[in-house]
Amino acid sequence: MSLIELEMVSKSYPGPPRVDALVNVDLSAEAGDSLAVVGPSGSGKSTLLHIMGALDRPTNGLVRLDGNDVALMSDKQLSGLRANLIGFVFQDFFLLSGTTALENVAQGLLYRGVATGDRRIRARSALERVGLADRMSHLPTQLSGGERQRVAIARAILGNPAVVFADEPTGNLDSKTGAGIIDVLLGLNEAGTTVVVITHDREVAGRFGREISILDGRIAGERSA
Amino acid sequence: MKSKLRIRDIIVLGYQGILKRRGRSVLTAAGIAIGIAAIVAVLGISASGRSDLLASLDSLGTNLLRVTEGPGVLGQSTGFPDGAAEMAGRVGPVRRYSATTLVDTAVRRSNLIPEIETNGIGVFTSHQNLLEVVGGEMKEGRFLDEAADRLPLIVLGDVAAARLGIWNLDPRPRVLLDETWFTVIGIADELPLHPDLERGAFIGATIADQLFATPRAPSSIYLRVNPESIDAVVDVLPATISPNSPDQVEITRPSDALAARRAAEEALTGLLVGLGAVALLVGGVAIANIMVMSVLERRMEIGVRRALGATRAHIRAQFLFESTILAAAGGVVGVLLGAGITVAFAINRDLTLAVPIAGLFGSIGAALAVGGIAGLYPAIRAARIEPAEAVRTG
Repeated sequence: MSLIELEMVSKSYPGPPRVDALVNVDLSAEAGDSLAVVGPSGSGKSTLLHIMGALDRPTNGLVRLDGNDVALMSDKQLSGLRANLIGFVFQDFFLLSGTTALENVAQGLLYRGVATGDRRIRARSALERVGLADRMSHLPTQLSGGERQRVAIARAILGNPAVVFADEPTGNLDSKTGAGIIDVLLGLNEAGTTVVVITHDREVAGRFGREISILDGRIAGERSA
Repeated sequence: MKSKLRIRDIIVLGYQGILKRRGRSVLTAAGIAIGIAAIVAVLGISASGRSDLLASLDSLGTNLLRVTEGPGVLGQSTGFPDGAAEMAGRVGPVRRYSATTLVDTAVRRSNLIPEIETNGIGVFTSHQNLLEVVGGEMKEGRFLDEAADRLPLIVLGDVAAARLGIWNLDPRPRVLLDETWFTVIGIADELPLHPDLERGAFIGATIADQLFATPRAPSSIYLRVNPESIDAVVDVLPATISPNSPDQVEITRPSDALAARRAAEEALTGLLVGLGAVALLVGGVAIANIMVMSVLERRMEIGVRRALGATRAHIRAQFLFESTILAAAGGVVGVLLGAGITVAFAINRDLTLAVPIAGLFGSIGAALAVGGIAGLYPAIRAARIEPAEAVRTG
């Protein structure tokens, strides 16, 4: 059983004009994969990521996450899946302003009902894992872009999810900082976490085990290592 | 695999949401605080005022009737017959009675003051039990008694005494009635329901008859009546007192004035509480407004929380709790403010402080209800935001 299975998945947004963001996509990812999705902006990459991450439902087709058919799940069950199985990293970091790095990371376990003290202890070690041991009590505004993205990654991996999705994690960073972020993500993958990354940077994509090109909502090609 | 948010964390989230936007939160809660403060202060002040009013109503009694001679249908004035007071006293439910008769003279400090300067002071003869029947007391000295009936002795109402410049009985003050010096033997205390008696001077019936040819027939009769039978007494009094011209008998109930004042104050209180409720409502609308805005601004936060595993119910609870805390904080501040205003007012006006406990808790309850209802719509909107939409940047 694959960790993520997409069969004939389509997603369209009712218009006008009607937009077919994904058209008949078949894709699967195994536990331990490192997968890059590349394509120009507007090609449907983000939509694909949201559907793979149970953040959105397809218009048509079958999505199975860890064996669960997303179409049959309630909002509550999907939320449970996101809380326990999945971590998200966004291009714009999406940290809570006015909240320290440690507290931001600790939010990662908020919806699993973990007690505050335990959340903090685990947030501390997650921040150490991404190399931010000395930035725990800094506010987002006191951190560089790369540091903010590391905080976001720490938040995503806090609960040891089976899979981490990253939507253009290097999009707002210079190439050197971006390479550092990719290092962190690949490090996670080496430790056993499935990593799915969206990027439009071919060079970044080349560092991942699999590379899927997407164009106009269709899979245009795949390279496997 | 379940998503779960602890109650404690909902509380912390709501609390942090408010603290992060401190200025805005204070302004929003201020609306509720003003509404609640207005309601509490109005209730408190009117309760304090009312407790005094009720106390004075109780001490003065509501079962006192005052009978005077009115103009009658034809405008004629014949006066009450002799013994009218005694006849009234024989009506069954009448417990006690007293009467006064107006004396045709004026009180002066000395013969240097012109006789037309009466200072608005009326001279009366009266039954010895007048003060007991109308519910008054002596401030100084004693009231008229058997011995005073035929001697030039006089008792002054407190306003009359003040107008004559007589503050105490030492050394024995004297006043001039016509050409006779009368010695003041007593000053009565305030009689809030009887301004005419406060402005009165009282002398014995016998000496009034000798000096001023004052009739024995009363001009005003005061009756204490069994409270249950007041209406029946009022019905039979005119014919009893003045069988020949019952239409000239005018009956008033001095406590009606107080009761009317109380009714007026209650109406005003109702109006002010209504205004406070409107302020509370406006505060609620302000909370709803701010929360709707907050939901729009915090799309990203909502998206991230949903991505982290929050259910719609968790998002709803977070926003609902936030608006409820806002309202509760406003409510508590409002209650304190309102209670403070009540205390200050009561001290300033020397009223008996009466804190409406039910009103206090009721107001906080009302604030919570307003906050909850006001927060409902924004919370539902927040929960409805699609996570994929909220995290989309491009």
